Amino acid sequence: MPAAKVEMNRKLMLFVAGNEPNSVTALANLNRLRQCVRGCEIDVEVVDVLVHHPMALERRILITPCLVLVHPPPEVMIVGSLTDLDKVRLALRLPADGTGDG
Amino acid sequence: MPTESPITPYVLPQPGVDANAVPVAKASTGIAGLDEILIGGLPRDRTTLVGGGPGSGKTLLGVEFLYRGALAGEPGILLTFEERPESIRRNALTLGWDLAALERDGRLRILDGNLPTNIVTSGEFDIRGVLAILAGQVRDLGARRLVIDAADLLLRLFRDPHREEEQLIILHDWLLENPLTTIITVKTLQQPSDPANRLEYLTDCVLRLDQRVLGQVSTRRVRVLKYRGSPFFSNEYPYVIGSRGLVLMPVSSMSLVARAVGPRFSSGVPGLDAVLGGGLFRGSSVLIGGSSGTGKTLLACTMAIAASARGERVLYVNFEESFESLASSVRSAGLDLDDALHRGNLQFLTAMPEAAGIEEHLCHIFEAIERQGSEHVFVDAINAAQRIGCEQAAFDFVVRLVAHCRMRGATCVLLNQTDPRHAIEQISGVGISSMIDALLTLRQVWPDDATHRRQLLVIKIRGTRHLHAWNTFQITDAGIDFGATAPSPSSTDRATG
Repeated sequence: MPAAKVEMNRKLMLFVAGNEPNSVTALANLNRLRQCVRGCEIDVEVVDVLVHHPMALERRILITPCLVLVHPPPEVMIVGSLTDLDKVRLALRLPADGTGDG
Repeated sequence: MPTESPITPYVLPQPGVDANAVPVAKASTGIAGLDEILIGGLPRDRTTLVGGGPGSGKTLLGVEFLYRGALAGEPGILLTFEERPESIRRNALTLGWDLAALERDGRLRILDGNLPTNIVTSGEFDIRGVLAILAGQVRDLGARRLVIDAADLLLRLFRDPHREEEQLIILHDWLLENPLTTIITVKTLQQPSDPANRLEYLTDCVLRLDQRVLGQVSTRRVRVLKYRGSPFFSNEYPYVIGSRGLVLMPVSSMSLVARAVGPRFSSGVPGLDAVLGGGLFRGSSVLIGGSSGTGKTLLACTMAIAASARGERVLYVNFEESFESLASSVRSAGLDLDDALHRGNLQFLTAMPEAAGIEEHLCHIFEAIERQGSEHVFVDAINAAQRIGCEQAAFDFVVRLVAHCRMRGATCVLLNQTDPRHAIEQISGVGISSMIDALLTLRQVWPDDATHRRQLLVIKIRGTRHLHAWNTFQITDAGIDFGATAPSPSSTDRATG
């Protein structure tokens, strides 16, 4: 189903606060999620709010770490170290299993 | 020659204040009266907590602190978690504060901290994002002041008292490292277990605002709960949201500062100046009592017009009737208020006593005095103050008005409508006669010869000799006239029934 496949791609932004532990954990958890989700492209831009504070302001990132689903709309904001991968996957509207059966 | 009184407010040291400690540096709030009870302002480069219920004016206090600071050369940042920036700008504009202009000039920045409602949480997080934003903005702007409005809403996201407390400590540590004079506002805390209570211990200064209804009149009050390293006035002080910002009127320190009374001025009534021993004193307080129809308003209008004709600035506060109705009633006695109004230095303030509480009335009157730089203030009539609130409120109103005029060196002429049977007793009865420098009373009499007479008695004028007799006067189509009838020795009846 080609039409559904277009919707599978995700553009995400992960806002972190330098090397602060929760931010490091969030990045590691997000990488785990990417590995077990197949059949779609997940593009992640990591933004350090300590350096790029104007971008954090623009997107109103008051809490870190914070993962933002930028595309496809609607936009979703997930705060925290992303420990509960199922919850994160659900919020990102990704399929429940990573076998990539199409 | 108005001189500053050498008396300064006497302040008891608060418990825990070391007399030898280095004085705390202060940042002026620029809010009338607030700096006075804080003895200079908020602790500079430190944090003040402002708690209050809905409608108590917390946000406004924070915004005014930033606005006045920005004007005085201290740029500031407002981080708001509740009200939208657009609504803050709009509300400020109604008080004449153009925040958008300050933002364009790089003297103010308003950051919207409203979080999306559909936020998902997973795992651990903290407020470092907002601190990074703040740090960046503070650097960009060279900010010296910071207001975090409705900080309790940021904490709510953590849904756990222990984690909320951790965030407060992160925030507190960050504030300690940054030289910013900060106000954090929170809603009045209901439960003692609320972690936001910790803020009272972490901050250096705590103010509490509240709004309550007394005798159907809503009053806002502010109280300083603590101030590390500084004395402060610890009573509750009423405040109002005036037309140009918050106004506090602490009673305790006001009456202590006064100016000496000035030279005499003419009443503008032929013959009356002689009765007064040469006229009334500039900057003194004058009470004119009398029952309805004795000519109090006409006398006051005559004095007001005469002063304005000499080029002096006059404010006439009228609680009794509209300007039009007043102007038409004195016109038959030859007084032209419209004409006096056109000269520009006579101003009328008409108010319904029931329309506001005494704080608001005083605030409007004080603002008008400030704007005009009034040299004479007339109030027609102070018995209306009893319609503002209770007896105590009426007394407060008069005391504070007299004290304010005295402080500014303005003459304060108060009219008081009395019951004809107890005219003199009522004047002393209001309990203010000791503050009043000159006391006059008017009456109408119908003696045996059936000729209606109007009379005036000077009960006292401080620092002068005057006639202790009822002086007869007439109201003609050219105004009040004492000239025709000199007081006769037989009419020295001081006491009336």
